[in-house]
Amino acid sequence: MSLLEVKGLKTYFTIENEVIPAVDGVSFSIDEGEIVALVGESGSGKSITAMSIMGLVPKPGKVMEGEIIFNNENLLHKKEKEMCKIRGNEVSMVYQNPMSSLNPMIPIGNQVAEALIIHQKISKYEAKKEAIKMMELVGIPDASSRYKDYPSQFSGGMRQRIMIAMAIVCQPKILIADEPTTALDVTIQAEILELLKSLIKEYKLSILLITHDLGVVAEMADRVCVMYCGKIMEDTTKANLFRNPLNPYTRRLIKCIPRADDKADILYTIGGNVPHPSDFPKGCRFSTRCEEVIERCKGETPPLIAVGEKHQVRCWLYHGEEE
Amino acid sequence: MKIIEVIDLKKNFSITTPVLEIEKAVVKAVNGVSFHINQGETLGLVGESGSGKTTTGKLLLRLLEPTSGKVLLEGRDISKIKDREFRKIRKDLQVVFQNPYSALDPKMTIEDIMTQPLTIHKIVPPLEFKKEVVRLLNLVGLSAKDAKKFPHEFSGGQRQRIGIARAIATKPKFIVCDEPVSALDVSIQSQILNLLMELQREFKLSYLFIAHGLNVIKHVSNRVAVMYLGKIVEMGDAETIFNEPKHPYTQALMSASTVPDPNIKRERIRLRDEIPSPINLPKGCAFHTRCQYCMDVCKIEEPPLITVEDYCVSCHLVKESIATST
Repeated sequence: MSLLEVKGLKTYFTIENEVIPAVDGVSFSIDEGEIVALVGESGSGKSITAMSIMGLVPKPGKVMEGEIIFNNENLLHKKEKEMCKIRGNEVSMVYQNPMSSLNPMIPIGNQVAEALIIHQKISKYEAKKEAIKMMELVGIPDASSRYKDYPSQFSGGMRQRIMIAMAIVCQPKILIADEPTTALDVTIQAEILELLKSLIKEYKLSILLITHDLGVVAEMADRVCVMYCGKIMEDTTKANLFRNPLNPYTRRLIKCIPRADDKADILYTIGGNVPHPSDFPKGCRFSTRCEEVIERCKGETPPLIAVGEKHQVRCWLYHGEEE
Repeated sequence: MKIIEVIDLKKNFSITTPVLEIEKAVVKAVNGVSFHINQGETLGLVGESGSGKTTTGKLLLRLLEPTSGKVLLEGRDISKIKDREFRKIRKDLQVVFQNPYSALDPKMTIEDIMTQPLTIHKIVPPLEFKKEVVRLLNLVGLSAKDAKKFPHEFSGGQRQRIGIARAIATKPKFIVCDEPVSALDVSIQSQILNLLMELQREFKLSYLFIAHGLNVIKHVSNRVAVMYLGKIVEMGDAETIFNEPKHPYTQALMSASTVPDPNIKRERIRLRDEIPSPINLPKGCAFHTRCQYCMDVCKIEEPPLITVEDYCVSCHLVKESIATST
């Protein structure tokens, strides 16, 4: 039984009568204790998918269609007041840039405890105790004496740890991590990834990990959804993604990365650019850059086809091969 | 042939009190760096943020005046040359910046942007400007009709191509590439890396390639220098640095990078704490506060830079092992 299920989510932006389909029919699910990675290039709709789940789509964006089922309830039918009780309590989020997501004027301890005071009926004293416990858990040394310190007194890696403490202090079921390590150095990135892994064991947390770094995916994910231009192109297990990628886009994306053990002089490239959302090509959205394009790709959008156990591909090449 | 040679380069920034401007502290951003880059060669520079990579790049271009030390361009000390004189040499030194969104003037067309270096350095006569701009655009994979467009009409990858076209307009000998692909998507990254390497082969360019993506560095570099708190702790062949790193910091850095392959499992070396502030450098070896092999001598004495041919390393541990092996 999946914990969170997204079905046919469509989030469109309407700007001056022009409709931009940022997220266009995305479906996936997250099981308990699972890490699902949402991979894609900029503009592929990863972050907007996350924002739609949180009910925080920025204007003029709007969720047009679809369902987001969490605890047998559709989050899209909830009122803002009800969403406030879920957000930060049962579903919470860690953002990319820890420098700009913390309030610089409020001591970090108060920021961590705030979620507890709002969501759970406990006294301020108990909230403080709980917040210190959580700060220790995420690896902030000497947490009780740093409770009153301001964000500017912490380094980037420490601020990201505080962000994680804020997100998990109410013990949510799902953590959405939007590029949690992109702004950090490799050594700090490794530490934060370790921390996230340890939290999964401790709290049976499920994570939706949004990233463009396939190295992070290889390290962390159980399942991977590859997004391109607002659509999921391939949905499969991590092992399948790296050993047996099927969609031409996924295959090329993996080939593009310079690898430490690869001696080739010239890197593999995907020709052309990601199309602008206002003029997505007809049919398959990758058809303009795909080398294996067939006539059908240019006219009809392929559906997600199940080609094996836990493996779905959106490509006409595999049509008729479904199991 | 050495294009660039750097000898014991240092750069201090002083932090002063407001109003009275009394020096409070000194940030030793670059603290005694020496290396050289041959013609047609790429030296990769890696390190965490705050290790002084970008400052080193700026010093090489004379965008910053060094506190002490020398930067030699083909044997001439560029910090000693008068400004007027230096303007003639400037065209030999170019830079490609990290962020293609902010490196191009949004109010100028691509043609105007590209014509500027041609005018200033008198590369071609004014009548041939248009032809030259088109030639440069073609060289980086853009077309003649792009010349009349403005920067906002291009994607990130295309903008980076324009940045590169502008850099090679003056026919430079040496280019500092300061994180040229960090802001780009994976599929675009490989296009730009291929372009840079193609241009290098064609024009025998030398690059100082600054990046924090280790896979990228390994792909483009002939030699790699690892910086930590303003010092080079290890430098050598890309192969040697990546396959047999000797310095504990290099080892930790290599083990921390993620591999896009779930089958490769690496033993991760955990670093304690975070990079110390360059204002109060630790005594002795700057890395001793985070080093897992830290010995008593490391806390007191700074390890000397041991040089064996093209390879150098600065660590007490390695000194011992080299001494015992010989």
